[in-house]
Amino acid sequence: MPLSAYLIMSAVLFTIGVIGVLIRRNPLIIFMSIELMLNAVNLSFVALSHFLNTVDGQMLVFLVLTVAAAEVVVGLALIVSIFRSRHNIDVDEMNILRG
Amino acid sequence: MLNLSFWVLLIPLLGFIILGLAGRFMHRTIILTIGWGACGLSFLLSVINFFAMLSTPAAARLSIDVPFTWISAGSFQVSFGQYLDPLTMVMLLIVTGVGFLIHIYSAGYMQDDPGFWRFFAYLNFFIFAMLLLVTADNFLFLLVGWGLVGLASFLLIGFWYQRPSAVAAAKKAFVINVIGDAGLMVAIYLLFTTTGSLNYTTVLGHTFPTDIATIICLLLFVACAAKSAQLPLYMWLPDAMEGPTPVSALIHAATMVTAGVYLVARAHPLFSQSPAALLVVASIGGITALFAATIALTQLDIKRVLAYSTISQLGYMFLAEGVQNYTAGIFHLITHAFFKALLFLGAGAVIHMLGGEQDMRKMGGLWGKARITAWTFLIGVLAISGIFPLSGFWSKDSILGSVLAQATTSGSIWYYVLWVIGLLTAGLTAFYMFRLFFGIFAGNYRGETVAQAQLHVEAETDEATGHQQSGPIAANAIHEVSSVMSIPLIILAMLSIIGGFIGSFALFGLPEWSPLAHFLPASMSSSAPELPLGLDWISTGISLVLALLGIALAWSMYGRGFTYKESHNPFYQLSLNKYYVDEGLNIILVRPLQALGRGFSRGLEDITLDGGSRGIARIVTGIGNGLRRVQTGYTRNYALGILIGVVLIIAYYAVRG
Repeated sequence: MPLSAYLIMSAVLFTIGVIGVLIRRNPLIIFMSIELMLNAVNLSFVALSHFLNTVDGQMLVFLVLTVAAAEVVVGLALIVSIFRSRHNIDVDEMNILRG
Repeated sequence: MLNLSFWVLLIPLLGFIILGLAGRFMHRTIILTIGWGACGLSFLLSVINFFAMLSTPAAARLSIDVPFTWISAGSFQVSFGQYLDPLTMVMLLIVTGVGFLIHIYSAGYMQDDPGFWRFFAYLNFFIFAMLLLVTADNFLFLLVGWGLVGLASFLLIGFWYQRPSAVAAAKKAFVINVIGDAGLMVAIYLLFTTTGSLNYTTVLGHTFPTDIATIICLLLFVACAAKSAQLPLYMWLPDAMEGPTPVSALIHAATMVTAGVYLVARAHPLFSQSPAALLVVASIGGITALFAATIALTQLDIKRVLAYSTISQLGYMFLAEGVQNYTAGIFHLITHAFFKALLFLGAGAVIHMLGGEQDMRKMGGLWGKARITAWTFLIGVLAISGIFPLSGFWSKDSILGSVLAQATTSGSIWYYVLWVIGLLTAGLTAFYMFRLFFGIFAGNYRGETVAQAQLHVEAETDEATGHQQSGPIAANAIHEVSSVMSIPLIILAMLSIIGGFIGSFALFGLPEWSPLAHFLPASMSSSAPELPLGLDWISTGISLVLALLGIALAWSMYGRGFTYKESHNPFYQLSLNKYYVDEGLNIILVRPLQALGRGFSRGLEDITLDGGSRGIARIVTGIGNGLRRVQTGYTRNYALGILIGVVLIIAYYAVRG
């Protein structure tokens, strides 16, 4: 398969992730969308790494996976604590920082 | 030669720092130990140094000790140095010696004052500042000392800061002194531009063009006139009597106000180069002497009488310096320090006895009740009146003699006029001083009759002061002051008697005897014209006769006790109201300046400065309010914003290639 196929696939996945972040109101779904975006990037890293015959891209994938895991931990913890205080996790309701 | 002046200077500063920081928590005894100790140690070192100087040959009696250099910019150097010559030595002894006596006296006078520690801290600070002024080896540190004594004076006049009148007097003194400081600063600038240095050794050895010398000397004299309360900058001194009486004695009679006399004597090589400036100094001095004496004739507040007499005596000193007899000026400075400190402390003792009363109308009859005070006060009064052989006689005589000598050698009418003014002032001085003396001590005590007349009047209490003015004291409640106050009086009285013997005895066929003139640099008296012995006798005789006449007149008018009669004689009213100078100044100067200030505050500050800054604030607030709307608080809006930003950045690079 040509490189462009992988990159198109990656772009499609990334766009789906962006749209998910923008239109969904449930933070869990938003997190899943963010994961989707990160993995879309991972896909393009791996593909490029393969086609360019270097391992740099694959190393970066591991870095991204680690950061994603950490980010999810913090994000879920935030969601839990917000739910505990407000009994609601709709992102549109979380606007107390409005100027 | 031994030069201890750095230590003489440092000790009172240490005393001030310790008392200023920790005095509040100290016991009275410790405060006194530090306060007295600092000043006393300083005096002791000065005395040691004085004997070291005496044992040095006259030519080598100058020592400049430079602990460190303060400013060093190319060839221009200002050092923190101590210039010790006989003139400085005299000032050191006067400042620390009289200062020490007044420190002792203050322990009694300020006994009940809540600000006891603060008072001694300020006194030590003053001693330090005054010593800095007299020991500086360059004009810049002279200016520093000059400013600091002004500050000390301000702090001590406003010592009872709860009294509005004291605060106003302190401000007045400060403002008028700053006018003088400005003159001194410009003079220093001119000295620097002409000579490139500020050190005494360089500047005073320099020969100036006459016009430059005149300008510099006149500017210096502005500073002297402000500090030494000469016309037209004398107004602050009578008001300065709001301070505690020991302060009036130390700062506003014996030491600080003589700083101007010291400066002219210090800069005498400069003044001698400008006959015009000397004429101004002599004229201002003479006119001030007479002017202040005429005001003192009718004053009812005993401290004010003394204040005007101080102005008048300072005028004498400048008169002497104006005819180039700087030694006579310094001689009168010394004797005046003794008898004026004595008179002020005596007046303070009287005020203390009477529970804060300063009005002569409510005194009288104290001769039998307070013998030590009465006798010492009488000695002071005789000394200032110039009665033989007390100290005032010698110094006043040498001044009048020099003026007459100047008049005969120059043949100028004006100097004859100044001589007559001096003689007249001598007579007036004797009159008003004895009026004061009889007012306080002769006749019957008048406080009680006033007390009965004013029974219904509410008792004035002055919580700020230790002296609660709870109406006049009953006659049998008056008693002599404690020994802590009377011992300084006795010492000063003895000094007032013998202090004159350091002057010249030429009148009595002993031309060799003149310790002061031999001690001070010869240049301070060498340019003064000599007076033939016969004329000297005439001058002395007339002044003595006038003084005796003044005393006799005072005796005939007030010898049986002072009685105050309302008089509508215009001259009397003029003198009583101090020539309406304060009122006049209020109209001519103070009110227009206040109006100008108000105009500026409204027109300039409110509209332009405040308006400008408020406008800027309003613009910033507006921008903030506009930008506030961007912060919606919706997470997804932010996410969209980030996305749009990223897309734009990518698009930019994509298009640019």
